Amino acid sequence: MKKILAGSLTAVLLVGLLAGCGKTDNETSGNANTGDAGKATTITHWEMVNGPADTYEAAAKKIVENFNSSNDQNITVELQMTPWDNFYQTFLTAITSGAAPDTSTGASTQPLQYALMGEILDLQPIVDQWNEEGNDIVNQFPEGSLDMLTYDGELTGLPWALDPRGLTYRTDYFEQAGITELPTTWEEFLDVCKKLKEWNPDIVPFVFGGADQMSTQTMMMFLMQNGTGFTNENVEADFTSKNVTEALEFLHELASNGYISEGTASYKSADAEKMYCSGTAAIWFNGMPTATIDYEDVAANSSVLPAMAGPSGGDARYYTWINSIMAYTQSDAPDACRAFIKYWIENELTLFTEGGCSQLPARADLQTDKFFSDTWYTKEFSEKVVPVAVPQSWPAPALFPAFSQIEGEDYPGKALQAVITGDTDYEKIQKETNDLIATAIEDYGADYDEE
Amino acid sequence: MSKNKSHKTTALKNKRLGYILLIPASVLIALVSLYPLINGIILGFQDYNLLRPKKRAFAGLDNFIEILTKDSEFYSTLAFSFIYTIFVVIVAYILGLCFAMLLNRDIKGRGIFRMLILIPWVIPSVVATTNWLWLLNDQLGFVNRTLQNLHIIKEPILFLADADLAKITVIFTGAWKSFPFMMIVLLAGLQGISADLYESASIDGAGFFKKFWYITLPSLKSVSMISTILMFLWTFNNFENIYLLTRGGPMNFTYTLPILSYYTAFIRSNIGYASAIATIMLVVLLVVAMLYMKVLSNRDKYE
Amino acid sequence: MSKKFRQKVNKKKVTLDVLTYAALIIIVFLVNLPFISMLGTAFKGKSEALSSTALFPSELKFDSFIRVLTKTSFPVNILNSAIVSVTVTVCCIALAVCAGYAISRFRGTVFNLYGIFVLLLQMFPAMLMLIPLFVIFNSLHLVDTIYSVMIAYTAINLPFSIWMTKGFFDTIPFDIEEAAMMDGCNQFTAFLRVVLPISMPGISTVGIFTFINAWGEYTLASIFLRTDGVQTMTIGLQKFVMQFTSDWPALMAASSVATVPTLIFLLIAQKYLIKGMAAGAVKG
Repeated sequence: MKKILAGSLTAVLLVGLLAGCGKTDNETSGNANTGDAGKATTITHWEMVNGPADTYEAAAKKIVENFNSSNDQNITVELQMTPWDNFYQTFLTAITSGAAPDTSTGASTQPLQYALMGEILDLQPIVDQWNEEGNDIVNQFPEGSLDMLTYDGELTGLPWALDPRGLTYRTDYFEQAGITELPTTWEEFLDVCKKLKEWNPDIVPFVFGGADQMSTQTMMMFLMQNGTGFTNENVEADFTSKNVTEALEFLHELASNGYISEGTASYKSADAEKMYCSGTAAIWFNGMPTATIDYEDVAANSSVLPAMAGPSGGDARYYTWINSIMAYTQSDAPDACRAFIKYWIENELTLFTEGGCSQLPARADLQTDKFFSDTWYTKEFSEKVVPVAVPQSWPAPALFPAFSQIEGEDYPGKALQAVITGDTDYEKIQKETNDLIATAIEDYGADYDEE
Repeated sequence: MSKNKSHKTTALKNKRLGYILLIPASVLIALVSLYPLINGIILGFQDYNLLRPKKRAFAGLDNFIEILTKDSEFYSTLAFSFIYTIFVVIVAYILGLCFAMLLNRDIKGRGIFRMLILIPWVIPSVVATTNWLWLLNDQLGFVNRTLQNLHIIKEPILFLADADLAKITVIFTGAWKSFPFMMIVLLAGLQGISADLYESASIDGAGFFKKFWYITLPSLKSVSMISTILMFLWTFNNFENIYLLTRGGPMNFTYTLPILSYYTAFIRSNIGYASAIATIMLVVLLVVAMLYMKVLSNRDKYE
Repeated sequence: MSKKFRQKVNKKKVTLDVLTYAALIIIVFLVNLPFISMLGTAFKGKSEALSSTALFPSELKFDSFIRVLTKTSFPVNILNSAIVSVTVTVCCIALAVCAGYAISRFRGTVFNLYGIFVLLLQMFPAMLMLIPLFVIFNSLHLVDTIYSVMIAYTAINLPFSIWMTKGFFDTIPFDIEEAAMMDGCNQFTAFLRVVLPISMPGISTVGIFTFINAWGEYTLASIFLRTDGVQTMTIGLQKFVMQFTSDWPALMAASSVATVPTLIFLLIAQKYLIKGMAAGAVKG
């Protein structure tokens, strides 16, 4: 016992020394010094974990280091990787306490949310600068995406990545099940599922993460394919329409015929991913299936389904999240932030080609890089999904304040869960969900109109 | 305890030493727990949305009145929170007691077995949850496939998709994470029981169950009371287990108060309302804690 | 007669032992299914982690472990966690024995209510205390230093530790100190020289609980620690998790690596832990 005590004491002393060494200069971590040209400026960039830990951080670091050594304004950027888990809390705590980063990437709804708090820096000067330089980048962003990011006359973020959602499927299974025509309508999709089920009852025809935010995202895809969203184009709750009923009926068909497995409402994205990669499921709704690359058999036999249209939908559609990079008003060096963001957007290609980022670059000119046609899923997603993809807030013209709450709390996803676990009282489900959406919109709307 | 009181000679000086000894811990606790707690309670009396910092204002009892009179989500969540907590504690207790009794037997290698049974305690939650999901999956999960291969079940069990089963499953994974604590505490309690008691009972012809009922359980009484109440507090405030496993779903069937206050604070950005919910939780737990204190003071009296 | 009885008892003991072993093996397997699944996925390597639904890998592969240990900052994170956990454990013990001793030995309103008071503070959900806590730590320039979590974890583990040590000291008769004081000690030195050594088993119990809690904490760490150099193991783990997918084999390998030290620690410590408890911490 004495030994343990002595050991502990030694440990304390040692630790004191070590910890002293490990201490970083926290003066620079929150806010930067003033940004006069020539005077040293340090800013902090929070980068989300957008790719595998071993490659993505290295690629991001490289961009930051290149910027640090090449900029002529003596700006130093410090890169800090931020986990997705709990990120709402991480960001809000830091911002509310006056310790926001200078710049960051993040979830697609973040710029608007923080703009509402008055915390987002206007990035319009960057666009103006590009226009002055005659740089064509501005025209490479997805159509309407800059408008979507404009709030109260200010540009809240710049799009850097697209995170499209699509249906990946097993070509070998389709072939063995005798499916020659790929589905373009929901009816044909049901037919395909039926054939898959008849061919091999042990294979689950269709899988998606029904327990996490993928439940809302699945619902969003089907709503959009049927010509609607959870709001209409005037940003009013619109969950009671016939289009929504049809989508719920379609989900009911999928569930009651066993085209999706009974456990779907409990699947997280991790389950769905494992079911597809292990060959248990034939069609998978997800973002780009980066994991398949490690499994040769799966990758060689995977492809992306063309977009479908619901009975009242008109055009066939997919949708994509548009993710942004943003800067914060708490920063003492707004010009340095803008200089860094400009550099980031101009040089972001290696995040994808070397970093293994699981998204596509937002700039159309980068999407033509050879890398994206060499990897099966980036090729197929840019060919089959991106051209017919509407932005996440469609049919609303821009993101709106309540969007992140509706999505974050999975109101549409819970309607989906109700239907696939056997509830067929669509009217009641639709009304309840509609009320939740309307309340959320109202909660935000009332206050902001006054300002 | 009366022994201490009778010692008068150095009483005054003693007390000063007592206060001094309390200072370091108190400073730290005041900084890290007390100040944020008071701050949290004050926030409960404010109309404060993180997205509208300029509109922050004193709201009196508004938040509390709304929660207690209008918020049906609060009551259904409170109900499940209690059910969840009580059952987690019961299951963890029963498992802990059974395993403690097994590991209290004088067998070779029990140190290794003790370590192996404590593993659930040290696996990071995010990893444990993902593996639980894979294990319990209805299509490819080890549990369902094994049960089907053994012809115990025909159709897979929907551990987390069925509303009622999901409640049971989150209780079991909660208990799975908690039983090692119970086991250690109860094992300690068992080791404190004199072997003579069992021996003389054996000679009197008492069987296993009689001994368990008349010797083991009564001897564990105080240990059990304290550990279950502590476990109650921890479980009631636990956020991770359910959030990582089901996010409160399917639909809202496994919603608990910590999840509700998390969503309210960081997704609805309504810090004021969330703090009011937390303050009500505090009051609820206070009632439980008073029970705890009563148990403790009773125990002191017996000594 | 007595020989026969003993034989009978022995025979019964052997059967009971066999049954105990059988039960233990089954229990260990069942409660550790997630652990086995974690190890299985880690050793499946990149090429098999998701494609195989079997619990065990078809062959042992180490590529995920090599990737985690050589290509990421995870080893640094583990080291940070070790530094934090050891420091927190020692500090927590030091503060808890002082406070525990005070409320065990002294009488008066402050001492009588102190224990209840510290317990009360634990009843508020931690997540809502984060913003005010962040504000304080930010003004003290503690954010993004290893000290932030050291201080926070020590404080958070104090109430339980104080209760445990108090329970311990309650079982030690005051006569012992009195005897020491006759020999010329004052009460404080008597506490240090006489009471503490007797309480070592209980103190190690407190230490183990604190160590395990500090080792596995994520939320506070994720908010206070921003840079690689100071981040702890749990944040390192989360860096393998992306928004809708994860580097599963790396995550599982990393958590296997992170679990091994705690298991070795538990194996050595469980002896003291249980002895400590039995000596009276919770029993009182």
